[in-house]
Amino acid sequence: MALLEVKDLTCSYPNRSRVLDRITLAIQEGPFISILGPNGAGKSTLLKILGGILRPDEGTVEIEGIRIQWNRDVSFLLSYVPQSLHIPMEMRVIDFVLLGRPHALHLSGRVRALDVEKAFYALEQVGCGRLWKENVIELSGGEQQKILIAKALAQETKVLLIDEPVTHLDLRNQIEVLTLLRTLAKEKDRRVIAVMHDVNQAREFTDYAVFLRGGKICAAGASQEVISKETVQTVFGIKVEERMGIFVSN
Amino acid sequence: MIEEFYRIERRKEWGAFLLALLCVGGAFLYLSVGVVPVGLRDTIRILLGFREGVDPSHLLAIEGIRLPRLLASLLVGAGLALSGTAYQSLFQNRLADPFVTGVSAGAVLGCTVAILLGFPSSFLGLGGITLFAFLGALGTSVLVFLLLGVLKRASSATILLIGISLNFFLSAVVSLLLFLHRNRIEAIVLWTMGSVASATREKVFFALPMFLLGAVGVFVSSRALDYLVLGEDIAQVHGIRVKRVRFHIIFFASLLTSVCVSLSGVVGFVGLVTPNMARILTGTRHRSLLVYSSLLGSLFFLGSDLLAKTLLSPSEIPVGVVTSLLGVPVFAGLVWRSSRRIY
Repeated sequence: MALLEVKDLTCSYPNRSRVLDRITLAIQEGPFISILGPNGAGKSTLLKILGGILRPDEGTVEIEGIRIQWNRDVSFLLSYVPQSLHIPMEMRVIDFVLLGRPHALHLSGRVRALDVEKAFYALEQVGCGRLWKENVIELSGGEQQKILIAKALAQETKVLLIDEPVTHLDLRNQIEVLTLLRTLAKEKDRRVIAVMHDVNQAREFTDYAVFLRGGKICAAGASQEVISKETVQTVFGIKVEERMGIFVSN
Repeated sequence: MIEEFYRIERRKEWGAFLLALLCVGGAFLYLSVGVVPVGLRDTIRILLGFREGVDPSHLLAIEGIRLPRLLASLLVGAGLALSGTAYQSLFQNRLADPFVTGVSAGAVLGCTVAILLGFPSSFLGLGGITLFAFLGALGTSVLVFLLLGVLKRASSATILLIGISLNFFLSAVVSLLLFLHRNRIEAIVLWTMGSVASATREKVFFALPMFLLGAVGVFVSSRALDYLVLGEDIAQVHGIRVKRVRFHIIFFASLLTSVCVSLSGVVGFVGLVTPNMARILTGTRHRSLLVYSSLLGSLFFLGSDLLAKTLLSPSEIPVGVVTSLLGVPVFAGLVWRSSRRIY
């Protein structure tokens, strides 16, 4: 059974050419997968289709053998972490993480003990246990990203879809978040699919990489092999050089 | 940590209980205070149905005038607060409320049209007026939502601008209608002032079932509201049928707004201030937030109307004036408190 199987996926927004053009992909291996490509390549669109958020024009998606259908509850199978969080109201961190537990509330409105424990455990896992009483809006970018992941962990799904997890973070937080994701994939038996920008980080942290360009798949394969000088040059249309295992512009 | 979590949860439950007690206390105060003061003992006796030996003027004051007005105040306060909470979470913006978004003005337009079409203020006529108010409110909310959809981003400024323009536009239409039907002006002006002084038993009986329907409708969507606050994408992953739920919430929030407007006219700031106070007290988990909001809304409206009828006694100030006078400083305080990042 493939971890991810995508067949003939086509998607277009009104008044725009195709964002995704008949994508077919089957990924067997790699618990940590990155989707790479230039801006507007269709990365986030692909991620949203995988999460059942966007309806494709055509094509099918299967994750862990389960067909993803648009507008259905898929919270048992996958959790989706958006690029950034915007909650313009008072919400405690723990209440936010509890939303990852779909049936946390009794009919009486009280929170179930098991769900409280799991939510606190998820917060501990991302190293933010002490923040549980804080207001989500008052956290720093790195902390927000971590509690987003905590909510996804509390959901206890096998698959984690993450849209640009480190884009707005400083270097220390980037490393912390990516290490956390890798640990989850390697040790906690999760499957992480992340849209990423930095090819160097993708090569260092992820197991499998998919390159998109203009709505089509350019390359896909084990990160160490597929993230090469040639692929990066073709996909991004720039000249790069590899120095000490890191791509730098030429 | 977990112990403290539960301690806070218990405290919130007691908080709701305390608010309910305050409402009951406020209700007794409301019944006894007025041009004809009635003692607490007589008030309780009348409420329990022991009429012997009670001053007939007291009986009239309480049963005929104050009780319907009390019920109307409680309903309108809770209704505005509930719909305000729902709009705020739906628009992901804590400035949204029926007054600011122009939904109340839409309801007033509906009332005006109904009165001009000749629906009387009798029991059946009220049905027509409320129905038109509902259509006006629903139409306006859908319009606000469509405009926000066209503009793509629901920032505070956008919502305020849309709301202000709609408010001006709809008020202008009402003024035009008033101008064209100068002979009927008095019946309509009442609705634009905001007052529960004219509440009668019939009006309250008529409004009650629709209020309950709207309140249940909003309470049923509390789980969906929890997720909608996080944005459409996350809501959808959790199986919330965003489009359907959104219409459901707009429908019932509009129903609540129109019930309130047909009972009391346009009363500002209740739906804006009380949900924000409730959010500070209990956070954004809608099961408890909606309870807190409705209790605070009732309390706020009750207090305002008590001031409205006693401050310049024997004459009365429209309650809308009092809620604005009280609401603006409270709101300014809220803005100041959370000016760091929330707006």
